[in-house]
Amino acid sequence: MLLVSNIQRFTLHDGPGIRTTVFLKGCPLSCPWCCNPENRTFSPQFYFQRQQCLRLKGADCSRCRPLLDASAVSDPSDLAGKCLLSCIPPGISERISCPSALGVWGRYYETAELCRLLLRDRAFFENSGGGVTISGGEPLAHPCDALAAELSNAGVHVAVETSLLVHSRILAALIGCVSLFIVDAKIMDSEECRKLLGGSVEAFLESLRQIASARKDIILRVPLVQGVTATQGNLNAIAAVINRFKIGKVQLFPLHHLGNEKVLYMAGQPFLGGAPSAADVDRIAREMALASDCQVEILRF
Amino acid sequence: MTGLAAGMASGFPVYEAAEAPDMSVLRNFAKKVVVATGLFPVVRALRRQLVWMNWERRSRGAGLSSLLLGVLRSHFITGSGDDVLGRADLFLKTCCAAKIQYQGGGFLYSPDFHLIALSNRTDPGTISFGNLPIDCSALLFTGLAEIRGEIDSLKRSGNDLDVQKTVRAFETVCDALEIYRDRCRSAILKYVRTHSDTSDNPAEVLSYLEGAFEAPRHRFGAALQMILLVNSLFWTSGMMLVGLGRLDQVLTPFYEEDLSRGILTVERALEMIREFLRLLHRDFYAKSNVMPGDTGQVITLAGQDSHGRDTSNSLTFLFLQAVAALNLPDPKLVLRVHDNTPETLWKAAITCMCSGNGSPLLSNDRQVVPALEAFGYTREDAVLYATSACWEPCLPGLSSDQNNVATINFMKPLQELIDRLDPSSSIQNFPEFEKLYLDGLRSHAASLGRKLVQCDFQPNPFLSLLTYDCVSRGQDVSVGGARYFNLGLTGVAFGNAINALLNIKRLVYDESSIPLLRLRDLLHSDFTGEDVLVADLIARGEKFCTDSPAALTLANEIIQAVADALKGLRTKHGGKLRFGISSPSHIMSRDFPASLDGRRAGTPFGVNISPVLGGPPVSYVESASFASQLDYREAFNGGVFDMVIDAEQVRTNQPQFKSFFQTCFAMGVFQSQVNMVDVDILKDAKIHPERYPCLIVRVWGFSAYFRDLPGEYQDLIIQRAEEARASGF
Repeated sequence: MLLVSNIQRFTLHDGPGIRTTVFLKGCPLSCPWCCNPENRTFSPQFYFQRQQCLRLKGADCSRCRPLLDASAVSDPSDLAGKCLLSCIPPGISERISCPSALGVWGRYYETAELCRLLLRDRAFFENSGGGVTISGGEPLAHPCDALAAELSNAGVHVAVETSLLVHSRILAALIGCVSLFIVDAKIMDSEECRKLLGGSVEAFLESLRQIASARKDIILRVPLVQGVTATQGNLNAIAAVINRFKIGKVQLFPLHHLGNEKVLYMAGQPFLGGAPSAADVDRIAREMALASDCQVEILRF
Repeated sequence: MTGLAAGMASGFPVYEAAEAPDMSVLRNFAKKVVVATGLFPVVRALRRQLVWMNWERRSRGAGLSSLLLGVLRSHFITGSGDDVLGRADLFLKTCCAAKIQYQGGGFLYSPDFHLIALSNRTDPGTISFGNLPIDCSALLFTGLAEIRGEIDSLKRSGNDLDVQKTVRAFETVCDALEIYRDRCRSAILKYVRTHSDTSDNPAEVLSYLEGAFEAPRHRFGAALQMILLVNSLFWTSGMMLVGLGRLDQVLTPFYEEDLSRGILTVERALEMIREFLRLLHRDFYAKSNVMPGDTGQVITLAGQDSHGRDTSNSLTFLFLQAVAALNLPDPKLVLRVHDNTPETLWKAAITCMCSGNGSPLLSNDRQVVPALEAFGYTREDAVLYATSACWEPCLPGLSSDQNNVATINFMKPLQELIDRLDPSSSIQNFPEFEKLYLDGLRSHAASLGRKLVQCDFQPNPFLSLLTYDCVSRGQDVSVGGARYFNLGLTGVAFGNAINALLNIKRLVYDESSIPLLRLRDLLHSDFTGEDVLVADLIARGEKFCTDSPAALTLANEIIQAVADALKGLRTKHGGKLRFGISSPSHIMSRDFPASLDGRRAGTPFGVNISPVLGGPPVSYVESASFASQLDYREAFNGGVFDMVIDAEQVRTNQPQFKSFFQTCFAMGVFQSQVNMVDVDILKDAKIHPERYPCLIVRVWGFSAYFRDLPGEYQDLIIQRAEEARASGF
């Protein structure tokens, strides 16, 4: 079974062609700037979009009352961020009838069922050179190798978007059936990575070595967070990694706060860090291109 | 503009939306007075003038006094009857009286929208021809000399009085065309005398007019000029929604001849096409029907021949290039695509789309041609299709099909069924309810159809002259002179009705949470105090244009019901009825009450084939997959998969979007059109996200629905779009 927070069809930037990206819910890391914070926890979670709540807008609505009573809370905001299985009896969640504000992120799928859903758009994949991207969360922390294998056996191009910062038993299996690895290069200092993100640089390097040895396509993605990942030392270390593994394509993206609103929906605290200036981003791109013989692209928003 | 006003403006008997009883009584009384006093044509024409002049003055920021000045420019001609001879006489007077002004430039184009024809007591129930593509081939490739010869043969051979009358009418039209041509020449000579224009343009235009209409010995420029003259005359004579047909096919012989003779270059041809298009656009408001832009000026390009070979040519690309560069809303392009459409043409189409003007609409020959054949057009004729004003497949020069004479409102039978409910009603389950709805729909469609097949048509000898078989048969288009003469209906609220039915299934029968009578009462109150229910109706349950098998099954059952209702009906001239599921959304919604898809009274119906407003976001691939599985064999009078896409998204991912459309059509999508988003739409989408459920924007590494994005990022995108607009993108 795989826990999925979203199946996003018609994505254009998670690999070549037209793709479907399946977001697995659950990640062992704790990146403060995560833009998909709903995918941190390994269980279904409630979210509450306060601005969409009809009762707060003045309507006479009590759709969530049975759920609140079963959960022993008085307000839907009390459920925000709570894990589904921990707070309400089974069977109640299926009766969530809120049309607007209260919902659940995360649903379990059998591999076969998920594969069937993903193959609905097969015709679009084939004609565009697209496929399926497994993202998250952290795919390596999920038993998604069977899904990747089934898709690959069906002739679908499979990409995985991963941090590689965790030791994983499924990496070898994934290497056998995944065509493209989109790898996040965050913090290259072992101690700092462990303390801030909970990740292992050693795992990252070893996994990258295996993927590169298997001659798989690799895109390195570098989130530029001022004072954290965008320091000269970290960028130099990333350039060294690019050269060491002869990575052909790097994508730099300045920090954004797209995840903050979702954090608020789960009653969390938003990340307030900043991104380098546009001029600094351009400079970083130029320097990285010079330091490493690769194509450097800036993903601006 | 209400349905009735739209009908009066176009001459079509449009299905009249419900209105307050006292207003409809007053309106009918006024109509009877106007008809009885013979003022109907005047009233209609003046009303039309006021409407389009008001649009125009508002666009210019002018005051109301400009309306009065515009009305004062009106001038009148009187006809001598409403039969074919009377209409020919009116056409002759039109050609003699129309004001012609040459304004310099490479062509003369001078439709006179202030000319009002006063003919005798025209029955408002008689339909005027309009909303069809004009094919000038008869004049371009045959010429008046040969047409006159054919007419003379008929005069000598037949004793049929009707044929003789019609033949005399055709002769009058030929005379009228020559008079108009000569007057055009005089207008140019007058211009030369009164202007110090040192360009070659007046002399060039004079050369185009030399022998115009008479014989097929035209240059490319002359062919364009003749098309403009014919077009000008149709507008002047009061026809609406005058289409332009397959210009890349019609003009190619002249284009290639001139190129081979070295008297034309590709660059010069492009320049001429651009001027041609600018001229056609010039009277944008005067030509508009229901709303500004609804002109019917559609140019259909490319397509396959009867052997499946691609017919695109250099002119296809030039028209795409010209429309993209001009970036005007009108004329519009329809591009016919098929299995053998070249990659270069696909790319050119996407490039044109990226200009943001909405062209081209893509029409899938793989679906359209077989549907036309199944309906009764021969394959040889079906592959020649263009489209009527919007998207209805139509055969220029071969058919006089009137493809938008009425609209089926798919929500109306549902409304009536619910209104009829009373405490004694006992509909036990959804299949029973659905059967009652479909019965009502069949009855509604059949009733509409039976009225339509009784309609008479106003003779149009000028149109007949340009329609194959009319001259050889000696028959006007109004009495079936064309090879095909069918009637078409559009469809509105298709998606809304399906969503409403699915909601009834869910709430009343599956969940048993709300009785039908309660829903009826809530509808009648326009959901007052029921925001939660409205949100539920919109957001929850299975929906139209998604992966829902129930929605797809229901959609095709509805299509079949209408097809069954119309199948056996025939017009007075043996024509059949055809229908589609596309329609401009606003035509009938303003006066329509609330509906169980969560729509409040007076708010818009859904647009063509697209997820209904306010619902959960649906990806393009999902809605395209749904659209590809509808039964277009029965509903081929328009079935447009309608998308709103971020302009930058398409511009920066053109190969992917090209693949997307290619896949859509390979799967079976019938037609598609794209609304490229601009900053105004983004701003509105921020305030009213429910109106734009499928609006996609690019984020750094993924695609997202605009409505899902945090507010600060929406502001950022709006800001970027404003900066891009300011920088000229």
